[in-house]
Amino acid sequence: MAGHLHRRVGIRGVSPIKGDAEAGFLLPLASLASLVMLLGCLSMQSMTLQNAQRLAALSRLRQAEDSSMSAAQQLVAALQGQHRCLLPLALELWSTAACISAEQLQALARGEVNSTPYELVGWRPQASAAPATEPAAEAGAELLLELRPLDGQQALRSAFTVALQGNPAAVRDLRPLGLRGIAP
Amino acid sequence: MTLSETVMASLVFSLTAAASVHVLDLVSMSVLELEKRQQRSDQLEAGLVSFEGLLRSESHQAVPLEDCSQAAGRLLLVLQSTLPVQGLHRDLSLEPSGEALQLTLTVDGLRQTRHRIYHPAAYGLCPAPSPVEVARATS
Repeated sequence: MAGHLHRRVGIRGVSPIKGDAEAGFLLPLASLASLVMLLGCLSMQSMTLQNAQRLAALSRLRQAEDSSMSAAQQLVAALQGQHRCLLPLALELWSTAACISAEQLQALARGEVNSTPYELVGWRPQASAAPATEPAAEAGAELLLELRPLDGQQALRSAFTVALQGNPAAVRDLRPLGLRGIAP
Repeated sequence: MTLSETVMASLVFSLTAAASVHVLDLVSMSVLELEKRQQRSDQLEAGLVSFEGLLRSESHQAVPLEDCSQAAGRLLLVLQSTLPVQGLHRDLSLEPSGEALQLTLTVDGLRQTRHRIYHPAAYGLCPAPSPVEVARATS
């Protein structure tokens, strides 16, 4: 009788070998599902951390833009005030200009704003469309500044355009052109 | 499938599910916080752009005064009478030298502030110093 029953179970397809295999499927399945859940959570958390880092970097850039703008204002005010003779000259020619001494030039080209040192690295006057002898002749110049943060961050360059007017040239406006990358 | 295996599997799954829910909760709170910070930071940027537009517009309408201190004082009065962008706190004052304006913009709930210095000379509002003044300043 017992042998007959055993044979009938075997005939219906629930063999003892298949039953052993099915016995261990729940724990691996639960482990796999747990692993997938954990990996999903970790990837979402890493995305959030990346976003936080991006926001912190953006905040640092905006602080750098503030310092650059303040530095440019300070520099252009000094040029407009006591060193107006330098306005039509490229930076490379400033050292040969008779209207400024070497000490004054050094003091002009380097300064500090919001506790961040800066250096003037470029002043490129652009030619005016109108004859320079006209009193209302408009011209411009590109100003390039390098910020050198003290907290170990990389130096950043930023550019500005300065509108000049008249003869002799005088500053009329200052506009930021944005950051120009990391200084070499 | 034994009872012990079922218990173990449900224990592993429920513990991981609880941990995941906790982590997701933290992540969603961080995302909301970051979004708020981003919005406030953008609000500060918008306030700054708006202020600079106003400054430029006022500078182009004004005529140069006798000296930079007067130009800075007048610019301060004009700009203080304008309203800042809604939700921002604006602190506008003269620099100790009296020849430049310093602007500080803040917004509630954000530690970051925007601080800039503006010289009227950069907008053509200061006259050129006379040769005597230059000689005095450089001596």
